[in-house]
Amino acid sequence: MLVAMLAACAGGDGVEVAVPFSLRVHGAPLECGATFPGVGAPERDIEPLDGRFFVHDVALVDAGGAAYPLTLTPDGVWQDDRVALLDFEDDTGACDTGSPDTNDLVRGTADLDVSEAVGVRFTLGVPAERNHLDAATADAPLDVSGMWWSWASGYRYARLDVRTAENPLFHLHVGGTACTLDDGVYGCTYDNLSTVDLPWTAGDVVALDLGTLLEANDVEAPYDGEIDFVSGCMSSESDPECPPIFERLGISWDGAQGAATAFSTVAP
Amino acid sequence: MILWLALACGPRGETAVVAPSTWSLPLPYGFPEPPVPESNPATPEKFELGRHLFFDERLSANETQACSGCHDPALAFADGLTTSTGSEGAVLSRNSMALVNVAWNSTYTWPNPTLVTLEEQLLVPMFGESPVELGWTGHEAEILARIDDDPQYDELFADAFPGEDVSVETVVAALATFVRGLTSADSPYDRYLAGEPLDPAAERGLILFFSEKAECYHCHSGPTFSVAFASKDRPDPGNAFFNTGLYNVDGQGAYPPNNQGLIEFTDQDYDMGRFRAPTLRNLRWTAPYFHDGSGATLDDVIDHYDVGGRTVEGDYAGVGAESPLKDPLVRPMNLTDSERADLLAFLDALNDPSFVAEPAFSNPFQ
Repeated sequence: MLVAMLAACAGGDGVEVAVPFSLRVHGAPLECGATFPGVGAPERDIEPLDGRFFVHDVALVDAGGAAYPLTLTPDGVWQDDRVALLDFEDDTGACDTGSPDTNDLVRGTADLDVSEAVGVRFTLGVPAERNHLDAATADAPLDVSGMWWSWASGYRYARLDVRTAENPLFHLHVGGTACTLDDGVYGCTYDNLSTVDLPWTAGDVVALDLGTLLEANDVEAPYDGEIDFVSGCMSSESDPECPPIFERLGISWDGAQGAATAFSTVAP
Repeated sequence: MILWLALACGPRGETAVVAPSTWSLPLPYGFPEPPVPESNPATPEKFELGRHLFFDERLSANETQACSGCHDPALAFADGLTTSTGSEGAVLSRNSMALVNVAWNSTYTWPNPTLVTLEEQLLVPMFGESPVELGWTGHEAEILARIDDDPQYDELFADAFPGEDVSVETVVAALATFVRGLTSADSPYDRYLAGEPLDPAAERGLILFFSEKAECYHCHSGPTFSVAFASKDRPDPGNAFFNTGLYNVDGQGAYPPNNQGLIEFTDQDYDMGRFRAPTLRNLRWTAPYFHDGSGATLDDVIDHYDVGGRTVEGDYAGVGAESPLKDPLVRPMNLTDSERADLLAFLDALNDPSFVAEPAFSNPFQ
C-alpha cells in the first residue's frame, strides 16, 4: 500500500511523454483514396477502407529493462487514462466506416525522463475487463461505433479493412473470440491481446505496416463457405486467412506471446 | 445475508426489500414483472416514441428499411421469409424472430448467449456490418439528424426523454421499450387459464404437449412457452439452448457451416447446434420455422419431432435422429393421426388474433 501511494504521488509529477504512431503500407503512410501496390502473396494493389486500432498499458522501458507505465492524459475523445484509439482513416476515398477526425499520438506522463527511454511497450487491443458493450453509453475512446463488434458484444481491437479492384472487401478485424457471460461477467476464451515490445527513443514513431502484416496473405483469395466464411480475417482460428496475420501481430490462440513483426519503430 | 436481515427486520416489521419498479406498461395476466435495466425504465412515452422509430425507414442508412421491414406486426413481428434480408440486400443466415413477449427473454437472437438486454441486442441490427442490416456504422450522425430535424418527433422526444438529446442511447432506449411492450396474452389458452373452456381437441393436445410422450414442455414452458424466461426477480434461468437434431451432416451431429448456434460463441464442441428455444405463441403468423427457416409448416415441425430428428436430403444431408449431440428428450413420439391433430389444435390455441390487430402496436405513419 505504501509503495502504491508513493508511486501514485510520483505519478502526479510524471514527465510528459508523447508516443507517435503511424499506419503504413511498405513504409508509406496509409491514406484513404490512395492505392498501394505490391501487397501480399501474390502481390496485389490495395486501397484502404479503414485504419484504426486500440492500444492500452503503454510503458517506456529504460536501459536496465525496467518498465515505466504511462498514465494517459484523458481527452474525452481519443484516450482515457489507460486506453487510446489510433485512427488513420479520414472518411475520404473508399473509407466509409469512420469519421474525418484522425489521431496518431498517445499522450501521457511517466516516471522516467524520456531521454532515458530505450524502448516502448504497449498492448494492442482493449483491456479484457473493458471489452464488453454494456450499452451505447461507453466513455471515450470506447464510444466509437465503428469499432463496436456487436455480434461478439465487444470491440474490434483493430479494424484494417482493405479492398482491391477484384475484391470489394477484405476484412481485417482483430478482437477477442469465443466470448460468453459467466455469472453475468463477460469474458473471451481467446483474448487475442498482444503485448508489443519495441526499441524506442524519444520522437521515434511506432509503425504498423500492412505490407508486413499481409505479406503471406492473398487479399483476393476466394472463400469457400465451409471453413472460410468471409474474405479476410475476423479473428477466427479456423479461418485460413487469420493465422499468418495473427502471427505477425504476435497473437496466438493459445495465449502465447509472439514477436509482433508488423510493428516497428521508425525515425520521425 | 446480514444486510438483508437488517433491512428485513425494520421497525414495523416490513419484509419487502424490493428494487423499484422499472415497468409502467400494461402487465399481462399471469406474467411477472420483466427484467428491465434500471437505466431505462419502461414508460408509455418511450413506448410511443419507440413505436414511431420502429416503423421509420429513415432509421436505415439508405432509408429503405425500418425495423418493421423484418418484424411486421401482421406477422406477429416476424417477416415470413426463410431468412431475412438487410437494407442493402445482404441475405442473413437466420430466420427473423417474432417479437412476442420478448421482454421476458433471458437472452436475445437465436444463438447469442451474451445479449441479455434489448439495449445490447439492438446494436446488432443497427450497427452490424457482417451482414449489414440497418447500416448505422459511419452514418449515425446523419441518421440521428433526420430524426432530430423532423418536427413530428419534437414532442415525442420531449415527452419520453425530457431535456435529453436525440442520440444513439435515446433511440435505443425507446426502441427497446416499444419492443418490450409487445405483449401477447389473450389466446384461447390464456382464456382457458382464466377459467374459460378450451376446444376439446386443443385440451387433448395440451395434455399431450405436457406429457412424457411428447416432452414438448421441457423446452417450451412458462408464460412465453420458452424456458429462456427471465423475470425481474429471476433474470437468469440457466441453460436455455438446445440441439434438437435438426441436422447431422457428418454423423457427429454437425450443423451446416456458419450456422451452428451456441458453439460459435463458446467454442465448445458440445454446444454445436444449440439454439435458444423460441416462443410457441402466435405460430400461425410466423412461418417458416426453425433458426434457418427450414421448416415451411407446422406439419414439417411436428414431422421433425415425431421421428426424434428429421432426415435431411440434398444439401446438408444427414439423419438428425442419429445425432449424438441432440437433446435426449428429442426422441420418436410416433404420434397417431388424431394425436397430431390434437397437438396442432393446442398450438392453434396459442394464437392471439388481438396481438396482430392491436392498434397500439401498428404503424403510426399509416
